[in-house]
Amino acid sequence: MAYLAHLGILISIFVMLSMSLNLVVGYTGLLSVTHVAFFGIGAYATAILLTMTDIGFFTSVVVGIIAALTSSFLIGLILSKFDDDFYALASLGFNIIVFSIFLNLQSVTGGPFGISGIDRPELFGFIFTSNVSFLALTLIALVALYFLSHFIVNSSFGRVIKAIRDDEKALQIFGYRTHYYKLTIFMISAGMAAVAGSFFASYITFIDPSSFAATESVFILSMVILGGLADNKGAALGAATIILLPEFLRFVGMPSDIAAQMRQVIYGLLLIVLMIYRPQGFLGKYRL
Amino acid sequence: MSQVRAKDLTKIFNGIKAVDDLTIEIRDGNITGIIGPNGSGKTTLVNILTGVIPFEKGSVIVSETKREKVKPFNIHAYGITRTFQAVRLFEQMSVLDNILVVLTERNVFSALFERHKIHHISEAEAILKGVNLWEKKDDNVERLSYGQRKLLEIARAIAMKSEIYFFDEPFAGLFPEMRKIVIDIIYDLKIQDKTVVLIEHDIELIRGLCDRVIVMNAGTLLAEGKPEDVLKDKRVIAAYLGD
Amino acid sequence: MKTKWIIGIIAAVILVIVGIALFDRSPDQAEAGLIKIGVVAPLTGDTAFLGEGVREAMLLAKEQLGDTEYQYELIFEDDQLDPKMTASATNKLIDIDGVDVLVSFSSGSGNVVAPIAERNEIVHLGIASDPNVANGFYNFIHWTPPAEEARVFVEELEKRNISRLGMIVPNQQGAVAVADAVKERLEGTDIEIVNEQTINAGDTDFRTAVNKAKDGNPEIYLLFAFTPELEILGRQMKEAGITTPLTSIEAFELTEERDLFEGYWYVNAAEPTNEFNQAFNSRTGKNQTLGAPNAYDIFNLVVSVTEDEPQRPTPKDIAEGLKDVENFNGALGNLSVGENDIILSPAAVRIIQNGQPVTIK
Repeated sequence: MAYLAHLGILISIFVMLSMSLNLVVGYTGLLSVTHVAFFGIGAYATAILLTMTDIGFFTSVVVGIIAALTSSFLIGLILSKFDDDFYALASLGFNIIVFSIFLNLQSVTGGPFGISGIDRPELFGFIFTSNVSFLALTLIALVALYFLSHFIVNSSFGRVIKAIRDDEKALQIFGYRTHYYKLTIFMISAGMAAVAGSFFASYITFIDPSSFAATESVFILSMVILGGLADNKGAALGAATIILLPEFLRFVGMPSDIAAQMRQVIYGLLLIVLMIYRPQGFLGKYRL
Repeated sequence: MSQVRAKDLTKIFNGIKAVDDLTIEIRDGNITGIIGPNGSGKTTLVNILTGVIPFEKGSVIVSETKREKVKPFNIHAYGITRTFQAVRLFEQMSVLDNILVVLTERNVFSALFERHKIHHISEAEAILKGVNLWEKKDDNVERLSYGQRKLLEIARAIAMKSEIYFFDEPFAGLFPEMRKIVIDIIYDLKIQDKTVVLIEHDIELIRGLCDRVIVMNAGTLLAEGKPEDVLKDKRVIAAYLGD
Repeated sequence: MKTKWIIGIIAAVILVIVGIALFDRSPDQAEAGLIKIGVVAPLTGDTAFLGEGVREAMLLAKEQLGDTEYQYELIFEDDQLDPKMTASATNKLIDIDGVDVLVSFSSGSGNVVAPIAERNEIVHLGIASDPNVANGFYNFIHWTPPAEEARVFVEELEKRNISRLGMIVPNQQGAVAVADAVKERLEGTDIEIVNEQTINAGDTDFRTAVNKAKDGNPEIYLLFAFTPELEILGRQMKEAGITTPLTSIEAFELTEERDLFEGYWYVNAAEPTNEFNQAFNSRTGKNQTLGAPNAYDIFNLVVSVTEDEPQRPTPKDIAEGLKDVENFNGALGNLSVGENDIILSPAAVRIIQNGQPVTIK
């Protein structure tokens, strides 16, 4: 049960991430690879506050959101000047900058040592120690973020970001200052990613910069693309598949001296096959 | 009184003057046709006037206000809207959404808390029925025929309720029934005292629809005036119409 | 088509759950006499060669077991040193495989495993330098602590009358831990760090750092990098015309290009016994890797403590037994468990002679 709950927690955290990135990549058509930086900001906010102050988990989540909103505002101001490939490159650059800060600001982030001993959340004296209780809390957060995302994409704002994805220049003719929309959705998605980061830090109880390297942004992007762009259910499916597939392969009996390597090979092959036969992703309706 | 004027306008692409020291005026309440050979700078001119591309020299005057720069998101405030030579719709959205997006809030925060209302749908319905696309309202634009996409783009421009409409080759590739719809739309706009600018190659349409014609050649103004005068101009015949 | 994919994914999820159900082992069904040891190590990815070394060493130890009161099963799970994979592997080993003991590799993984082990009252031995990994009743680490390596290193510097030290440190947890321990140890001595350069693991061009490292005119350079950065650094320092001697803590032991460091002394974690080295080499055809002798010792320590128990021990019994370990003969010499649950093994000074590491002290 604890293992299943663990998988549920990981899936929930990465569904939050995948859904939040989907707002930028799937709905708005902006190929951002800076997302894991905001995941890290949320995680470090929670880790630092829980280990160095008396501030509790839920307050740390709010602090993480504010930190992510602030940093995404500054980063987004610059990114919104770019299009297409240059946007992707610039976003990668920011990801590297934020990672370097995590790695080098040792007095605050612990540098390569990371931060250990992060507490689990506590609410009215109850500590979410068990995997099952933590899963319940994570699911509540996930549902809240799902409804937020649903609210956004079904509003007039949601329609506009889809139009930006399709033809930003044409949309401007109709009186839309599209860079404000791009900045806003970037900030909202960063805030959501920070929430996922806070949960990640408190669940794993240890974080270090390796969890927030640029390669992890690609990992999250692959969940969005696999699940299908501009569909929250697709984002969830993509995250669940990518988390579950290697776990499923742990149970496929293979000789121990090649098991790990064979699992990687099978995992890679399955992803390739999926993309050949379903390039728009499981529930994809849109293309980048 | 002219609503839109270009004064000494110049646009250079890779050393070539696509628009060369051009001074023209679009008169209020008129249907103005812009004609000329391919590469004469007609679309470039419209792109400059609607802020799609910047210009190197000169100025654009809209409602007597001089603009050294025209940004695309500002032309809506100037009362200008347009269609494109190569249709530019929001391809992966539905027909209805392509109209709703121009009917709803522009402000970011207002848009975030807005859901489209009954009156938005009613308005969209009226517009789409005018171009026989209401039945296709839930279809993705990708699934429409070329003619239907052209009509939808024009419908989207109509939905803007602007004062000045730039239509870039609105009749290209349309069947006669669809052409009639577009002609009716343009006449409706004239009745409403709107200003319409048409880039067209169909001389008969120009002759029948336009109050004034501007002829461009190699980025410069070749001739302008009433259609019956301009179309008999020897320079125009030599450069564009042929014998 | 879409429905088929959804069904396929749901089927995969069901398969996982069925797989778990089939493999699930509740405590009531624990086989009498079978002690399960779960090992979380990087078996794929950039550091797979280290995880494989750990795996081979533990399998070697198991093969060498004679008749024992209890049976011992090793279960290996890959984590690629990725914290979320470490957490998954650990939860699976505890919940599904029902292990009695967990072994982890690296401080990062150890820090993830430790609280899970403590919460589930499972013994955990980390091959890690971070003392935080040993927090709690059930957690231990087996490593030559950075403080011990630093002590031996500074003593050697003093013995050789070296007073100006240059350091090149990669931004990696293990390296920074030892570098910090060296700095702490140098306080109050006459030895000065005249130059310190930081490099990034994964980079291949250190020439800027190498050029800056010349400032201060150090008498010796302490390189903390490991393969492949170590070899690149060694070559680029040579190309830059640096003939100042080089030294390291542990790194020279593990490189395949020892000719780059011929004649240079260094400090190593405790030297593995010849018996272990020969047995490991005979099994794998390679020299031992970082952490391999530690893993070997961990297995034998667990067996030793378990065999002492008259009845099948619980993890609590094993933990209590480990805390009392003194003078255990392991691959890394004479081992004792200290107050802070660190299995101590002494550091050694070695030199590369004719391409081989030779112990000086």
